[in-house]
Amino acid sequence: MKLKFEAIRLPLAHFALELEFEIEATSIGVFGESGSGKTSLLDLLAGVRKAPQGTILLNEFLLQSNAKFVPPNRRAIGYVPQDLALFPHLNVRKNILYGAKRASTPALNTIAIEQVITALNLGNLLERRIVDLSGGENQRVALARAIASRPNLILLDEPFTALDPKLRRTGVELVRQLRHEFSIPFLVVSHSQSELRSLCDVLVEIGAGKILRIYKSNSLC
Amino acid sequence: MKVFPLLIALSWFLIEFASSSHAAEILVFAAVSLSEALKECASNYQQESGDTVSFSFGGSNDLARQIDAGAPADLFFSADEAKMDFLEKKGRLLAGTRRSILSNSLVIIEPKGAPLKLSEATQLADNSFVHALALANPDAVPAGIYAKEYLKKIKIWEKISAKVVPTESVRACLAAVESKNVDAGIVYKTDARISKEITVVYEVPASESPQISYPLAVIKESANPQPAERFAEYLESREAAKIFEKHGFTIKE
Amino acid sequence: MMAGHWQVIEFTLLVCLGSSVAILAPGTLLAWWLAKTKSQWKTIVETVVFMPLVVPPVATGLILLDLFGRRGPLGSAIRAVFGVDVAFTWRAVLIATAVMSFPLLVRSARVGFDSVDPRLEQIANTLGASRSRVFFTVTVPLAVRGIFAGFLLSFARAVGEFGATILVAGNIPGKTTTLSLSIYNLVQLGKDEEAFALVAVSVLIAFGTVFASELLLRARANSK
Repeated sequence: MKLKFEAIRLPLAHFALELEFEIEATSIGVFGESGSGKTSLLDLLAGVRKAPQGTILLNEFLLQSNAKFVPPNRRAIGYVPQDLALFPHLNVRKNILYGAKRASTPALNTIAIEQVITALNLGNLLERRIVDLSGGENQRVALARAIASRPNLILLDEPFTALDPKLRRTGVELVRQLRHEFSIPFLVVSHSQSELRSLCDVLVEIGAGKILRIYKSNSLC
Repeated sequence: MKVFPLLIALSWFLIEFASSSHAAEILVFAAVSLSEALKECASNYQQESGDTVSFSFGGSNDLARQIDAGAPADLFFSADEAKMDFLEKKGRLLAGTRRSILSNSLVIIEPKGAPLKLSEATQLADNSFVHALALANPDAVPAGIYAKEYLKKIKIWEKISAKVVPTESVRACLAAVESKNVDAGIVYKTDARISKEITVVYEVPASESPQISYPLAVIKESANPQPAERFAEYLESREAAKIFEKHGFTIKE
Repeated sequence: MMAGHWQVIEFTLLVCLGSSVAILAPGTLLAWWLAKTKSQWKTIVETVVFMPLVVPPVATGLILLDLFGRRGPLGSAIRAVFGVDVAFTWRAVLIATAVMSFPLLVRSARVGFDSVDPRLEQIANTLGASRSRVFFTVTVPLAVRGIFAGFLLSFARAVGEFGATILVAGNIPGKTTTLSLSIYNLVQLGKDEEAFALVAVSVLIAFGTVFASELLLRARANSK
């Protein structure tokens, strides 16, 4: 994917988020301290927040500019927020299928929902209520839901932070596997550089709302 | 002879058709003191004419106000001329349909079994007899207005006005006395007749009583002026007069 | 003894059901707007909506009579267009009960909407749902208990309505007499026994609906 932020400025509580970069990668990792603006970056990409100034382009597709703003339901960008935001009034199956009608490109159409369910091992949980699931199960459902909507990009906000070390390793493995299986670019936010390095080919370090450095990770993905 | 059944069928059909083409529904707003008498008149009238008569009974002042605001009454039967004057001035009455047909008299009543029964109207001023006197609101309701006029005439109004418990209508006044929550009340003779829970202790003589008059008129905006007028005419008939007299009203000649 | 009263009870229940249903959609939408909007009009709208709860009911009734009477601006317009009267008919009862119970619906529905996590709506957006789809598939289902509790409360309030109704609808037997008005009539005429029978009916209705409403709100609080 090709991601371009141009002259983006978003005032936050203690500082302004100022982003200017162009990255071409199969997946991007963003890390930095808490409160450095990572989640706001994801919000801008998803269209949940609008920067008063600046331009964002994904694969040459304009998401926002000073004149135009594409609303989130037309961006085909999946989002797995830190709190997962699963719909409590729908069961697992209905959560996964919520965005499933949209197929943004013919290539992505080849992702069958069954494939997603199997890949994430959710086959026997489909009728369960969200409140009855464990943390790890919830996360898999949130991932499945995002993938099932066939987006051009999936955003993951601190996906492993709440998991214990063992589950964390499994989680990282899972995400890597999903990337390969479904060929959807990911943008992952974390405060752990090491996890990101094993997942992503380009890393972005952010601090106090500014990009500190961008570099290629050296791991194989 | 085959014609005969046909004739019967035809006449039956004509009678049915004729009466159904007359069948109107009229709504009469009437002073609550007329309740029993009017219901009896209406039930006779409905059988004779085929029309349906429904009523809204209340204090004549409330009814007049509602009619003025556009309530769908066809006929108004008030307990005093003042309320009818009010509507006439506002142009709400159908010209030429106003007439006054009844009169009534006032009585002083006490709850049944009350210990001290007064023998004179002026005793109402005496606090050992009466602490609380119920009157239909003397500022607005005809029965109360008449009572106040009478009490002023016998020169005790100033003394008793602080003891007055105003009620929403003359029947509410009757109920207040029945409940024993007051010591005495002034209602129409016709109201006292319907209750077993009160005793009439004094009937105001005609010479001292204010002029009580019950006028009747068709409402200008009525959707059924002719049926309303027909019922009004019925109320002036000999048959209706007998009913009113039976209930204690006097007919105005 | 109860014979003549069934008509009044039936009439009251029907008209109040009608008015509660009539205000359901507009009240819910207004509640949603109040929950979401940042407009400067919000406080003014909230206050106006709240008015029928605190203004004396007869005052509200008088205002309605002025508007919907035959000679009032709305009453005469309706008469001209539809040929029907509003004041002193069942329509006035419906309007009076609707106006008086509207604030209760809006407040309760608003509580329902306030409890919906906006994050869920945002996520639904990112999954491709348009704003109206989000409203119907995420927002309303999550707020539904508050909305329904509001519906029940407004129904109970409508059944208990007296002051506004008596002014704008009058007390015409068989046409506009409601349960509350009937109780009043009976008491005025000293028919306490019958009055108490109707009091029992109205207490039963009120108890039933408010109890159900409380259960709903409690269930919602527990399920979070």
